[in-house]
Amino acid sequence: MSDDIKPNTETSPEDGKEFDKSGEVQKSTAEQSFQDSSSDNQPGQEKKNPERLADAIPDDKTSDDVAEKSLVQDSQEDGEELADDQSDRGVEDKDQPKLVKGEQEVHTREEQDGPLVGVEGVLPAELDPYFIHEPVRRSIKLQVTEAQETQALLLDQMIKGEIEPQPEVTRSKSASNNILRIGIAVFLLVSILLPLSTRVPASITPPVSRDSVSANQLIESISDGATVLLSVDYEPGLSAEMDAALASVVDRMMMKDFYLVLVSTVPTGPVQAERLLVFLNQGGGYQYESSENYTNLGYIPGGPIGLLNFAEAPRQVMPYDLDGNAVWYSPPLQNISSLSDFDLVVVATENPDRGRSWVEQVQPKLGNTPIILVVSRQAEPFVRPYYGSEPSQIQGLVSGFGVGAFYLNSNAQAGFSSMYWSSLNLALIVGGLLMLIGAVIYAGKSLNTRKPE
Amino acid sequence: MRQVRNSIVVAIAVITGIIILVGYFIELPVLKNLRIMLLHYAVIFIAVALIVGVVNLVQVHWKKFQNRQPGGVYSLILIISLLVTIIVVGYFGPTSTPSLWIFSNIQIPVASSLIAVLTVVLTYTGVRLLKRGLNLFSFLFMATVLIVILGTVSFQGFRIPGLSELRTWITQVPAVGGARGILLGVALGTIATGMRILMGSDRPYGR
Amino acid sequence: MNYVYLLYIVDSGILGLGFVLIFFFMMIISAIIVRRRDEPLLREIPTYSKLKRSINLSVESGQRLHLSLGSGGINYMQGGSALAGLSLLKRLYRMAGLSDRPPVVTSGDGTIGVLSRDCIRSVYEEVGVREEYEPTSGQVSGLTPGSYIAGTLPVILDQQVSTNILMGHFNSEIALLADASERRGSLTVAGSDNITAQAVGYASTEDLLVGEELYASGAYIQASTMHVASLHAQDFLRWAIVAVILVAGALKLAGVL
Repeated sequence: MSDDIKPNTETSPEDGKEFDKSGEVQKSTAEQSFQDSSSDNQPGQEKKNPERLADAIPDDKTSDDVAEKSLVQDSQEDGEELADDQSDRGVEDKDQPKLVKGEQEVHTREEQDGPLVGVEGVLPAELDPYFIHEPVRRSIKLQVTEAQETQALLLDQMIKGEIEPQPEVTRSKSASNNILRIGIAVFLLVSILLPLSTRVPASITPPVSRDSVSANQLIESISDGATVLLSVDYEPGLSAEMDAALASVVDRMMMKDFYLVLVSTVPTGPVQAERLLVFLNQGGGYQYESSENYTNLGYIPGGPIGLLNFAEAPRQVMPYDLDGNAVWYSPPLQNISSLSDFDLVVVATENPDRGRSWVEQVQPKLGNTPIILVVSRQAEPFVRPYYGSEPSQIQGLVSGFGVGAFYLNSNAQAGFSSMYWSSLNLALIVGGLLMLIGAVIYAGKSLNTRKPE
Repeated sequence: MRQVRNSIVVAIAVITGIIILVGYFIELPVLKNLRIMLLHYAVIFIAVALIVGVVNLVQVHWKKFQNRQPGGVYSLILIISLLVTIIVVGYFGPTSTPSLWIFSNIQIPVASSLIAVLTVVLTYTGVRLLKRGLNLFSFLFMATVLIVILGTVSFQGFRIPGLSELRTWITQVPAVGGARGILLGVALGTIATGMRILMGSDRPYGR
Repeated sequence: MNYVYLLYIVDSGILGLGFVLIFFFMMIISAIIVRRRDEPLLREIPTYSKLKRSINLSVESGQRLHLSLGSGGINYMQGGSALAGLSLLKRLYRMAGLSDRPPVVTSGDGTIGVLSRDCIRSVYEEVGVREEYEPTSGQVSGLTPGSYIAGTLPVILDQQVSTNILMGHFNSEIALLADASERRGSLTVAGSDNITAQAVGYASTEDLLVGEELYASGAYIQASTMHVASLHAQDFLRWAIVAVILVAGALKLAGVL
């Protein structure tokens, strides 16, 4: 057995004679058989077995014999495993160091009587009654100190805590949120429908801004029959506000018999533009016809890239109208080769980014041609700097429904637009009040929860 | 082989980007023509991508219907509506009466309804804004919202004195200034993203 | 002062090209400095920390992540925000692509839809499980802003999503997505380049990326050198722009300009 696998034991006497209190060990037949059962014993090898630990204990402790003997058996098993290991490696018995503390070299008995005389490793004929005993009742209680037990308990709790899934912090899905949503919807709906159903008189007039007045004056300053590029660049969802704002401007242009060239950078824009003209034809008594009074060039793909291309080469980018006609070679577009040849450009959009694209990509190519932006209320703050700059990059700014309603006051639509304005007014008041009430309630709760701190 | 292919792809992306960028700033006829040609191709690709988007939409919803996932019936309705609209608009034309009918009576009401729901949701969000806790910024936010709303409206012709002017000042001065500041930051971020793509270090196009 | 010359510089595009070149060189210099550091020097953005944690939790709990890239295409200026979202998409799929419920990606533009599917496929190829790729993982929910929102809502409401990441170009309709997410008890992380969406997002979500924080996703999630370098370059140029504005304002007040 090599040194590196030698167990960490105390130095034991060479021959184990120190423990051999009774001289030569008279092994019982059970022991003998136990030892001899090892099949790995090489012939001629003296089998070394672990010493009975009982021999280390004084003889007067006979009451512990049973336990001792079982300990011996256990130690013998261990010793045998080690011995087997050694014999597997072909180590000479005589070279083996002591394996277990107190181990004593014990030699197997040679049969002395009977037909098997002289044979080693034979099962005894008679069992030694000394070894017939009840199995040792061992205590299964782990011999630990109180401190060790406490530490083990702590470790167990820690591990259990890791295994058990932590409850997820779920967000509350209270029904009261749905009730609040429905309540808000009901309030807003009632506030919108009330003026419409009761036909509130037009005592509330929408406000008029200087910007829209200047846009109106700009349109008025252009001679009748001019060619105008009109871009309808808003989404269908906001058509309610944008139609009202744009309709007023287009109505003014139709009154002056402007030729309209319709484009859009929104896929639904061309249809939106057609719809607006149909509405104004019906409501304003006009008879605007495609190719006669207006041309719909359709959708410009590519966003700002497409817009830039269109600004640089409109004839190449949009050669045909929606009906497939080559419109640039017949009046009135035959004289138009670039955007600066138009008399006016009007862009209607609810999106500030689209408005900025027109101003930044197209306006530099317009030369002296003025540009008017018709925008929603939400987009107005972002395009206003272009209007207010010096020199201003846009010459007219019409924002929101209210201004459009003002324009419509000049014709038969006046009463209707005032009702819309009343609905909007009341809905805004109700919405503002609801938010104010909510703010007060939740601010109060928040302050109350802070107070104990 | 894959390495070579990836290198070629990156090289095409970088060279194209540089030509368009430089062509935008420097007015050289060669660069300008090249830029216009490349942009024309880009517009075509974008239009084709629109069609690819429609195909993907149909694929997703068809799969949803086939697998009987929740809302599968609505997916079938979507596909049928898509086909009907394509047929009607393709046959009659985009500005014909049937097309305008579909647009006016289906698309606009549906889109407007979404905006109406948005209005309710925004009001609901405004009502519960301070539920998260009262701090300076949430207070300022709520105060601004209320000033803008109440500065817009009138009650039987009566307006709160000064509120309208305050509203105008808020929307035209601090709001615009703040928006400009954020937009400058966004523009810088966009330039940085574009520069990383031009340098080949960021590849949103797969490997 | 010779205003004609100044106008010429502005009009001729030299100023713009010069700005771009300065940006380019600043990125190079920042990249060299960043490479020498062990740790990138970035301020903490709590939203990104929360985002990383929620991604890990979603994978562990077997729930789905949803990434929405907005309705802006790469042909618009809003494309930058969509590209920022695509950077996050790659990282997301590397972390969660092989979970029981892989993330679902929605977009409102054909080009972004194509790019998102390409990103997902490339991640699966990288890890050697190309067969796991599903083309419907990257969905185009709608081709207009309204239809895109309408198409995205069922994903949030029906697909057991634990975290909704909204990074791209959104308008005020982002409130609808945030509300749907709240009704399902999901976490919402939002970032948009649109001012209105940011204002609405402030009121409707707890975790919002404001302004250019959206474009920092690459640096905070992937922490590649060039992403961090571009952040430093942005910071430098932002201060430069502030200085120019202040000086120009002062000159204007003094009557010089």
